[in-house]
Amino acid sequence: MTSREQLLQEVRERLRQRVGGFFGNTRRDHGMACGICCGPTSDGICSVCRVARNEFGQLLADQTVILTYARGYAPFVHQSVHTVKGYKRNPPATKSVDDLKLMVLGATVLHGSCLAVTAGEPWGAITFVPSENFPEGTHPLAQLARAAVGANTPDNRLTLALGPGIGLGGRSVRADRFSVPPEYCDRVRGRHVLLVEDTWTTGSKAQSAAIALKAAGARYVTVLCLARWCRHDWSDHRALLDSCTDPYDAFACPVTGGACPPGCGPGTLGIL
Amino acid sequence: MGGERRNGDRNSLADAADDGMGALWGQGTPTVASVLTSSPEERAALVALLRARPGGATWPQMTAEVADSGSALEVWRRHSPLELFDAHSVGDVDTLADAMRDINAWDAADFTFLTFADASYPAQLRDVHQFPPVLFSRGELRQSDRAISIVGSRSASDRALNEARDIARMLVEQDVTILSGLARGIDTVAHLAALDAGGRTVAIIGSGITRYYPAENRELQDRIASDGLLLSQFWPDSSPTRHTFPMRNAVMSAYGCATIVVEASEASGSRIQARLAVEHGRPVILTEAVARGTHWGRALVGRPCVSVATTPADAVEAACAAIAVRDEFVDLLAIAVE
Repeated sequence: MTSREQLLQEVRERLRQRVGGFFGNTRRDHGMACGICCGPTSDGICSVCRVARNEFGQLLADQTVILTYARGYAPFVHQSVHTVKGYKRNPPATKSVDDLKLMVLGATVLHGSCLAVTAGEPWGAITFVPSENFPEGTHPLAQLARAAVGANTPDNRLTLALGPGIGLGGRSVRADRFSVPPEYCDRVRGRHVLLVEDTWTTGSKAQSAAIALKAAGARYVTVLCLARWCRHDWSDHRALLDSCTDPYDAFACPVTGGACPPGCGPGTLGIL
Repeated sequence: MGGERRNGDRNSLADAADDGMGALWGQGTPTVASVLTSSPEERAALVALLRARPGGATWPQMTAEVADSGSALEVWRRHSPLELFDAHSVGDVDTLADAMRDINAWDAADFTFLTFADASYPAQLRDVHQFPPVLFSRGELRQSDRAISIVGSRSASDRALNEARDIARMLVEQDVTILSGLARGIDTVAHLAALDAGGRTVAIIGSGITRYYPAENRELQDRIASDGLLLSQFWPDSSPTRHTFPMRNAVMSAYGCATIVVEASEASGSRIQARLAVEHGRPVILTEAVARGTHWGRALVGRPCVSVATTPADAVEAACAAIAVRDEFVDLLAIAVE
């Protein structure tokens, strides 16, 4: 093995050891899980994602890459939930921060070619889904976004502004939750933008952010989300979670949910 | 801005020299803040919430709510909206005052009272979902203590006791802290071997900090408190119960870099700790006796982080590797992006 291959294997093994005890890979196989959000559905696309698509169509994210599941509402707090919440607490759970950074790093370094090939080019700008709780770049999610490997340079980074609809409409996708500040429009226009999020419950935040990016001229939006939030106390959700028994494998393709696209995947450069 | 830099120009996580937009990103997040520490009212509100458990919340639920909000006082107010003008709220005010009085008494006692938001709270405990909201300690608290749990049966064989002793001694030579639960058998031997070798030892106990259990370990407990560190997550005067020991094991798993199970039965508390450690993403090292001789040991082999040691030296090597892996983690993050 070359040293690069060894390094990739090392990332895989470290992740297996650090998060394999509580995280598995997501599914997006037809009949089991939603091809957009990886939540349970037998219809290919779940009802929530379908409603959003009917309303916003091409304005939504073109590609969603969701790495794992968080098991919410279990009788005891599950470590997966602790990890996706604890990383942004103050003071933070430091291992959770490092675990999630390594997940982002692993996904982008191992599957950068996979998420570039569908878009036709690698991502050229990066941002994250902001929230009301943290002003601008102080959001702990920014630390995770920093770990994405690719065109992650200061002049390719941007933050989204909160729009008038930020707190409205419960968990619906809205065009006015976020906006691209004028000074960052150049970084977005015509580009493939990587949009980093920590948890996907209904996708209303991430998809609303994707709409803001598209409205500002983004050519293609890839959502890279750490965890799909599922409910242990809902039988369909639990059945899906319980079907993912293997420890998290960073080599498994989070873009396709199956084999990596031809010529892409760990160790390949693809069109990078 | 918006230059021609594309994928060829990979960033480094170690790169602190970002300008403009990059400087704002992920750099302003405090690592260890002490929102609660700064104010006695915050500490009192946390204690009061844990006692009152509004809405029948469990401790973990209560703790998560406070941690998510960042302020115990805010959570307290959320659950006592009528505080200022409702006669029934007098009880609530008393609860806060009681908590304040108790904290004052604890601060005057020969032990230390800590909340999870304090700077001196062992940070690694926050890594797990069972992190205790309050801690009582005697002895020297250290940030980034390089500790390894040595656990096993209360009625271990002589052979296993010797192995535990050897492992503890060898780890002390590597400047590793010996962590255990002050129970009879393996725990006692591990603590004693560490102290006798001049090493540091930490005991996490299943009772309140003012209690001694088992009674015959009274002297050892005081010795650990004076030469090492004694930790308890329970109210100071509480007795141990069959529920407190497994809770204590979760905290032991969290405190150490890895857990070594020397000898254990089918129904042992060590089994619980081993399972929890795997769930926490902390390495577990089983002796062959455990890996082959128990159902749960056999089931754990092959799970992430679980290894089997044939000799005490093997166990020590695996434990030291676990510490090294933790120490070099940030380097890996930096190297991998180059």
